Parts: sequence; structure tokens; C-alpha cells
Amino acid sequence: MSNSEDVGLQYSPVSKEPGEEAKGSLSYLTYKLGGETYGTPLTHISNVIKIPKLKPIPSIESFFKGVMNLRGQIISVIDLREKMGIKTEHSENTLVFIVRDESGALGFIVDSAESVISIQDNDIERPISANLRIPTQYYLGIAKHEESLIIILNLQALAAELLKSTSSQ
Amino acid sequence: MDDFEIEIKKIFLDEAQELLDGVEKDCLALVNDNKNIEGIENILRLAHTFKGSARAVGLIEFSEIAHELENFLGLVSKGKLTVSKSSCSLLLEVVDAFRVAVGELRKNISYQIPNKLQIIEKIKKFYTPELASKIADPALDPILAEASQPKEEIIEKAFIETVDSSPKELPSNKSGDRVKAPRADEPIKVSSQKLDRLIDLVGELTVHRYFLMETGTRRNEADKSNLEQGVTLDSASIGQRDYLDKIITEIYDVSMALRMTPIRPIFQRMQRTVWDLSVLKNKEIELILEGEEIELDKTIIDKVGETLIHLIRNAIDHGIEESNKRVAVGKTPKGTIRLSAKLRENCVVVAVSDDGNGLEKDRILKVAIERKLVSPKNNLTEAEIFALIFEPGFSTQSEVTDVSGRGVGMDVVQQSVRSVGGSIEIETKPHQGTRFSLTLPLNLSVIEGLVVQEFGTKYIVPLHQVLEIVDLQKHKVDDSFGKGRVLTLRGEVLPVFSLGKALDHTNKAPKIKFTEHSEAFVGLSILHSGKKVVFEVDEVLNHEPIVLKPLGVELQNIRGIIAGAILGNGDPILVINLQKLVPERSVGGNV
Repeated sequence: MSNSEDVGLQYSPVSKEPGEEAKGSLSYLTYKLGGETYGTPLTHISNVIKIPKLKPIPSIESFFKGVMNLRGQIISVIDLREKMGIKTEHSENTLVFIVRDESGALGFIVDSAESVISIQDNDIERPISANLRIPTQYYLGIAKHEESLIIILNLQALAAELLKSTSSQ
Repeated sequence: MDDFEIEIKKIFLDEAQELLDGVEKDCLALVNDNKNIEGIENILRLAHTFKGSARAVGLIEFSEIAHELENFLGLVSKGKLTVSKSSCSLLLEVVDAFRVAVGELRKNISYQIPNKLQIIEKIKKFYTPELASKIADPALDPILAEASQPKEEIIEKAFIETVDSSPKELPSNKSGDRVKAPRADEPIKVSSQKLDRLIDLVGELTVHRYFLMETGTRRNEADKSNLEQGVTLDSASIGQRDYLDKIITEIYDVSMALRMTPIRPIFQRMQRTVWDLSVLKNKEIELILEGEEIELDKTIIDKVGETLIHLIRNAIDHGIEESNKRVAVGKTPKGTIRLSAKLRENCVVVAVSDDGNGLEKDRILKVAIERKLVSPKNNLTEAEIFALIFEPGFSTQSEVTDVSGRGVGMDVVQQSVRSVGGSIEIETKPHQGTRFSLTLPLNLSVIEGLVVQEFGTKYIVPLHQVLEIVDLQKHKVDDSFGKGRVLTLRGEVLPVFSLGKALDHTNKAPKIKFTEHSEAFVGLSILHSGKKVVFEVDEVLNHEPIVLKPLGVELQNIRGIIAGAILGNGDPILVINLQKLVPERSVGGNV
């Protein structure tokens, strides 16, 4: 079925058993949002799928792009750039990351996935950055990796917040 | 207490609940026919089982109370005592005490019944111990004989009995390899989560089935016309595929039926409500049950239960008159409440009707004007006036009564019916009675859905909500009345709302680019608070059975959206409850 096609990027291939992982480092999935590179701990993401057909949802914040069919489950899909306030002309919107939480699951649209890399905790800087446009509670720091900078996002926290805040309205 | 002990106590609690339900049912039957020996013996048997089981798991208090009850019932069954209304009340009181205790024990396994002696004393008041001892000659009465033996012996005997019984019944088959035939339709308890998961998966299966069938068909056609290369499905594979299709259809039907349970237990619970209230209000009332065998989704049944209690309370409190008043207007002294369930095409109609006084139109209108629910200038139709009782804050009974004036009004009833996608209707005739009909979906998991298109997006509307599909090219919508848009259909003037606009009711920036439609072509009329209203949509595409899927918490507060679903082609779709989309101020004749 073409609808919720898994692109096969699950976290098993790279991340070893948690105990075996090199001390002080984690596996991150890196991806593009509007031309910049972002990363999220691999354990936050349960599936990566090609962007499926979405059905729009009436009267809801505009970053909710619609609902999708994930193997029989109805899941809301969110434009991660729009939610994070990342403004850019460039957008491809090719993939959806599925993030699960005990109260549900959400999909986040990203432009493209890059690779899975291992980053030492020491290599992540957590500067109090004034010109950072993303809300700080979803921001885990900036990592230097092979001469490039990766902004680390806490998608688990973002999903938890979205799955909580609107339910108590 | 070790785990085993806790486990068997839990098993006992389940059993106790069933026994108590049985006792209650028979008690209520006794009220109408106190010579019903069969009923008494039935209660006696249940009480005895209860006593034995309670002892076996070490709940001595339970068994002591049950023992007293048994003594009393034993006398009744021997014809030494007759059943009076007050002894029925006593039995029900004991049942209630046990119910409470069972509930407490579920929370805390070492709970003790606090007023055990009080209950025992109460039961004893109904018979003199001397009378009991005369009857309780062990030789004459095996049940009481057993009761007077020490505990260990009873249990031992009980075990021996059960072990012995099968060879006795089947003397020809001593090898023991005969499997006891299961009782017809023995229920099994399954967690509802597992059920829901199964229903989800079966829903998926049917979707994939659709693709398989499509692919097969397409390949076949390609084959015939030699236009495309494809795997040839030979006739054997086609046969297999068609067989698979049949099996899947059946699995689907069977699993959809799993959540369905008969409405009987809820109806029977109402007997108790009627009994309690008729005693309290000192009114004579007979409850007639019809259609107890009808099955509904468990969730709907639970909701309906609360609603029915409320409607019955109202019928007894406001509807049915005192006996002398009834006789004065030429009615039988005994009032009748009829509780019925009837199957319609896509829904079940559950109705509560009484032969009481009927709703008083003038009084309702007067109260509504007093409470500023309507303006006196409004010219309301009869149906609109009766619909006022569903307005929040409406209650004609000026003083709060024990029975129905509990601050919960008919608006709560309506809310609860609507929350499962149903609707409520009133029919009433002065001095002849009132009838409340609840139209309910059969099932919450699978409904017949109407696929509609509005502003370029498809939605599902549950078919059971729709009274009529109106062709808006034949019946024109006008703006002329200055009260919004209306449709004149067979002489009725109905308000018209745009579905798309009703859905997009907030001021949040609309990110969905709705393709603005030039003209809506189809109207869906629904019944809302006793009044017809029409929603216009661009198109009605088709109708199909759909499996309702719960939405995530993030989507649960969108007005009018009740669930999600997956169409036959795998596309996700949102399901709408039109009842919730009718603008607040449009109904009830508000200015």
C-alpha cells in the first residue's frame, strides 16, 4: 500500500544496545529544515515515512497540516518549520517523522533526512543564544560535526507539549 | 493474605455480582406476583450459592448475612411466611448492602461489612427464630442442614458433591473423557482494549482486501487486452482470492459484532429504579419492557443507561399522576411506563413512554419566558415549545424534589445522547402521556457513513443523523426572511447553514485553502432539538460502512469532529457530528 510508506529509517541499524553505546554519546538523526541541518536523538523518532496524502483539519492552528493514515491509525501531521517559526523560501516537505508519546503519536514534516551520526555529549554546546528563533524548551544545543553545525531539537518534548496543551482547552 | 486467596476472592466478586443481579431480578418479579414459588426458590438457590461461595473464599460476614436470608427465604418457600412489599424492600436492601460491599472489596480486598449485625437483625425481624428452628429440621431440609454444619464440613461436602456429580449423571461414561458440552453462548470476558485493537486490524484487513481485489481486477483486464505486463492470475488464484474475500467479509462482520451487547441488563436495572421511586412517591406504576434482546455497542449502552434513569425519574415525578387523580380523569389507578427498543435501518430507537399527564405547553412556555429563554413575542410552534425543556437552566418543577430535581436537567440528557451521535424526540398529548424517543447509532466502531465533499475536502457524516438529502437546485435557498438563510421544503421553512463555514468557526488563521464554492448543490436535513435544520454541502459522493478511529488528544476539542476513519482506498477522512455544528442561537426561537 502506497499510503504510509516506510522509508526504512528505523533506529535499529546504527544505534547499538543502549549499554554498548560509547560512553557519553548518542545517535542522532540529522535532517534538513529550510536548508539548515537539524538533529534529533534517534530514540525520539519511531518511524520515518514518505509524506502521505493528508486530509486538512478544520479550525485548528495552521501548523497542523492534516491527518494521515499510519497503518490504520489516524495521526495528525505538523509542519515542523512552521511550528518552530523557521522562515524560509526553501522547502521540499518530503518526509514525515513519527514521534510517539504515551498519550498518542504525531507526525512532523521535514524537508529531507540526512544521516544517522553519533555525537559526543561534549561536542554539544548549549549557549544562551540570543538570535535563536526556536522556543528554547525544545532546543537541546548546537553540535559541531565534521565542520558543520547541527541544531539539536527535542522532538519528544515538542510532541508531549502538543499532545497535552490542546487537550486541556 | 496470599496471592491465591486474593485471586479466588476476586473470582468470587465477579460471581457475586451475577448472583446479586439474579436475586434482584427475581425480587422485582415477586413484587408483582408474591405467590411465585418458583421465583422464591430461585432466590433461595442463589442465596445458598452465594453463602457457600462466600464461605469458601473466607468471606464469613457475607455468608452469615446470606445464611439469615436463607432462613427467611426457606420459611417463605415452605409457605410459612408470605412475601409482602416490605419484605421485598428488605431483600433489595440486602442486595444493595452486598453490592456496596462487593464494590468496596474490589478496592480493598480486606474490607469488612460495617453494619453486618444491623442487617442480620433486620432480616430476623421478619421471622421468629422459633419458627425457623421448627422448620430447620436437618433431616427435612438439606439446605438448612448444611448451613448448620461447621464450615470445613460444608466445604468438604461441596467439593465431594461436585466431584461426585458427573459420574452420577453419566453412569455409562466412567472413563472421564467426555468433554462437557459448553453451555449455549457462554460469555467470556475480554479486555476492551484487545477488542478495539482487533477491530482496528480487521478494518485494516478490509482496506488491504480492497487493494488486492482492485489489483486482481486490473491485472485481469490488462491480461485480456494484452496492454500491460503483469502477473497473470489464473482461474485458481482468482478462486482463492474470491474465497479470501468471503472470509475477510465474515471476519469483519463477526468482529464488528463483538462489542455489541444486549440492552437487557440496562432495562432490567430500570425495574429497580421504578420500584424504588414508586415506593418513594407512593404511586402505583407498572413497567413494561419491550425489545430487551436488541444489541447496541457497549459504550452506547452505558451512556443510555444514565439517560434512561433520568427519563424514568421524570416520568414518575412529573408524568404519572397520583392514583386518585388518575381515577378522577377516568384512567386506571396504576400508571404504566413502557420502555422499548426497536431496530430501524441504521439505528436503534429506545423510547420511554408514560400514560401520565403529558407535557403542559402553556406552563413550559411561561417558565421559558420567565427564565428569559424565549421572548414572549416569539410565535413558537408546539414542537419548538416542547424543545425548550432541553434548554440549559430549564426546570418546571419549582421546588427541588428528591426524585428529579437534582440540578440535572433535560439538557444533560440531550448532551449525553448527542455525545454518541444520537438524537432525542418528544411526542406528547395532554392527559394521555409523553414519549421520549432516543435515536441511537447501533455501533460506535462501525457506522454507515455518507461521504460528502465541502470546500474541496471530503468528510464523513453518519448516515443515521441525516433525515433527508435535499436537491438544492430544485429547492431554492432564500435570504429573504432577514433571519439568515432558509429553505422552504414542503411548506416547512428550515434554516440553512454552510457545513464548511460551520466547521471553520474559529478566528484562527485558516491554513487550509478551501476552494470557495460558487453554489452548494445538496442539503442534508437533520433533527436538532426537535427542529429540522439543513446543512448545505457541495456534493454527496457515496455511502459506505466505515470503521471509526479515535483521534489523538490534540484533535479532541475541535467542534463537530468526532472521529477519524479510513476510506476504502486508504485515504484518511474526518467524521463529523452535524448535531454539534448547529449554531447555538439558531434553535429554540431565541431572539
